[in-house]
Amino acid sequence: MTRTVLVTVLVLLLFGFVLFIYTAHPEGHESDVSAYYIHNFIEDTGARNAVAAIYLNYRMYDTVFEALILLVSIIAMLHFFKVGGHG
Amino acid sequence: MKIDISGTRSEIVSIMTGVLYPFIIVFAVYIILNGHNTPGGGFQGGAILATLFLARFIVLPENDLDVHWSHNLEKMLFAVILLVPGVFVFAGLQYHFAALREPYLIFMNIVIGLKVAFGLTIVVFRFGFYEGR
Amino acid sequence: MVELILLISLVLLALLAIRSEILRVAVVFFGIFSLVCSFLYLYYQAPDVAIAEAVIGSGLITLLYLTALKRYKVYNIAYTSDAFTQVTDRTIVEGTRHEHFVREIEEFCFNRELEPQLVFTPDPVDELVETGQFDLIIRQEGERITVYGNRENFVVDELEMLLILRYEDLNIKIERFGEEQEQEEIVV
Repeated sequence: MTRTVLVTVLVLLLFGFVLFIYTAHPEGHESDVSAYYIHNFIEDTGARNAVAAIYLNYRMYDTVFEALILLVSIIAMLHFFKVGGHG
Repeated sequence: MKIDISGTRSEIVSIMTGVLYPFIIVFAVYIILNGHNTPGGGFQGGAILATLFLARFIVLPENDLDVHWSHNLEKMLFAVILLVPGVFVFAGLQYHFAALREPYLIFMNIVIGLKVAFGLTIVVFRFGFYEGR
Repeated sequence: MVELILLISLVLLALLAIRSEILRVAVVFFGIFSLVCSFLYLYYQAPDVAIAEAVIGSGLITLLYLTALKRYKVYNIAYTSDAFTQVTDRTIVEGTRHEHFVREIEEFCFNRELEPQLVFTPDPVDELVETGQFDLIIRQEGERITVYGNRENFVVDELEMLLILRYEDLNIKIERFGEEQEQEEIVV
């Protein structure tokens, strides 16, 4: 019972903290970089989907390392899950 | 004495998977090839392709995927993912050949889609046929 | 309004998924949670994320969890008897107390979310042990009942307690087969 109450209080405190951060530091919606991307992505990359333009051209490092994460996780999985016969 | 412990196969699931099969393929290919114009892209399309193999795994649980072959293929695709943007984006080739920008996007979407599809399929098959404690 | 309904149902589905007693139901609730989540992404005009969430959250993750649950779910029971030809499902349901306790074992399995699979066979116990397919073998010779439990199975201990408590008068003998539990050797 006391454990449930403690967990509830902790969760509420965390919730309040996150809400406080959100209200105290509002994120600016119109920074220079995002405005540049929105206005120039068609000429720069030839894509009509802004998301594709960003993850295949402006932020290519992100995609490369995402693919690397998938590859590493599969190597780890092949290492730990050995199936009999196939080795 | 051989006893089938995998349980009985559901007729409804088999037939519905057969009906859905071509639609899943068409949807995945559309998402991958049209990723630079409409929402979607390599990762999403590859995940949809992986659900295709997953549906096949539900209907017909047979371990006939050559894991090492597809794993090697995935490594090669990762090398392509590393090399092609290295030449085209990081080395600045895109500023000299503006006409190649759209083919580059399509090619990268296809490569990423195949890589993700092979990766998730390996995960599903390894997990599904893992025997042990 | 749509946004409010989706957000509230998201919280409700998350609570249901956590509080469900039966694991399979919890997995299904988690799949519905992912689907509502993807609708919400679509409402916030992020169709890219919505596609990924729908495919991975509702499709791949749900099926991986269900496969993992099935991994330990099936419980194989072999039933051998001298009067093999006369024993059917019917005698177990309606029969005497000697035959009825098999039914009790099946109910025990249902309560543990296991799926009992009963096989009637005339083969001797040794052969059944060697196949390594069974978690529990019941041998009946007239009045004498012997239950062989697999050492690797963790439910056998609980089952032993149940049989001793409920069926004291039947003099059920319980034995174990399978390899002795040993410390795994660490290969450096």
